[in-house]
Amino acid sequence: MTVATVDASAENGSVRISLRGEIDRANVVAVEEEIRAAVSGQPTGVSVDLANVTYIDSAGKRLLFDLASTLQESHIMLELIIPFDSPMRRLIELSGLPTLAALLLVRREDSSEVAPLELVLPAQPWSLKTIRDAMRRWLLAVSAKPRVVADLMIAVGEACTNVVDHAYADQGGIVTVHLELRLPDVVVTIADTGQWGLPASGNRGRGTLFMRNLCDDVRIDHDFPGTTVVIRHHLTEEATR
Amino acid sequence: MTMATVEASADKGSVRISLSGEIDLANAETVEEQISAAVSGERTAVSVDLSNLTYMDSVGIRLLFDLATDLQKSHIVLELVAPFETPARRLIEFSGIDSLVTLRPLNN
Repeated sequence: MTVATVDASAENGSVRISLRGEIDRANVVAVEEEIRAAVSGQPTGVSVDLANVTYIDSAGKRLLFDLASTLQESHIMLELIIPFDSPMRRLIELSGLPTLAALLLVRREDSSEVAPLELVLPAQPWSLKTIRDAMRRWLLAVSAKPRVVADLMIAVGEACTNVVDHAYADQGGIVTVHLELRLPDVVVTIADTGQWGLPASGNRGRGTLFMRNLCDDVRIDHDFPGTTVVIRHHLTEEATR
Repeated sequence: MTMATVEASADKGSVRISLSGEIDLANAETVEEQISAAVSGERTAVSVDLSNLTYMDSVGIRLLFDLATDLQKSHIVLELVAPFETPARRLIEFSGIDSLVTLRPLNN
C-alpha cells in the first residue's frame, strides 16, 4: 500500500504542510482530506513542502492543482517548496502548476552556506507580494542591511511588474526570479519568455529608472524568446550611483 | 494578496489621507478609487501621508502623479508626507514628482 505522511504546522496565520513518501491513486483521497483539514482555518498563506516526496502520479498532481485553485479563490497563492535537484522539479514544472502556484526552489538544508533561491510564479499581479515575501525572508537570512532589502524589493518589484504587465499579452505565462550571493553582491535574475521592449518614457521608463537608481548594476537582455534582467546590489552598502 | 488601507478625514474642504500597508500593481486600482472617492467634492487642500506604507514602487508613484495632476486643474497643490530616507521618499525624489507637490517629512 502507498504510504504518505502529512505534517502541518501553523505560524502567524500561515500553514506549512510537509508531505513525505509516495502519493498515487491509492492514497490520494486520504492525503487530500488531511491537507484540506490543515488549511480549513482560513490561513493567510499556505506552503506545501515536497522535499521528502519520492513519487507523485497524475492524481497527486491533480490534488495540488485543485488545492491551488481553491486557495486562489480566497486570494491565497499556494507555495510549493522543492529542492533544486529533486526529480519532482521537472515533473511539477511540466505539469503546468506554475501557472497557478508559486514554486520555491531551494537547496536541501544540509548545506552550510545560504543557498540560492529560485521562484517560479504565474506572471500575474497577485504573484508580486509572494515574490516580495520570499525575497525578504531570503535577504534577511543572508544578513542584507534593511536599506539593501528595501532597494532590492523595489528594483525586483519593478522588473516583475514589467513582466506581469507587458510580457505575455493575454495568454499569461511564467516569471522566474533567481537570487544568489556572489559576494560582495546579491545578484537577482528575473526572466520571462514573453516580449517587452525597453521603454524610453512613461511609467515603464520610471520603473527602469528606479531599478538603475536603487542598484549598482542593471542589465536588460532581450533574448528570443523572452527578456532577462540581472540586478546587482552590494549586500551591505548603498548603491553607488 | 497585496493589502493597503486608505484612511481619510476631512475638515472644511481640507482632506487628509493616510496610506498604510503595501501598494503594487495588484491593488493600485482599488487604492486609486478609494483616494478619488476621498477627494471628490468640495476640497481646498489635499494631503497624503505615506509614512506608514511598507512597500510602494513606480505603480504607486504613477497614482500620486495622476492625483497631483488632477488636483492642479483645481489649483490645488498636493501635499505628500514622507519621512527622510524612507523608500517612498527616495522614489518621490528620483521621479521628479517633488516639483509638482509640496513634500514634507512629517505630518503635523
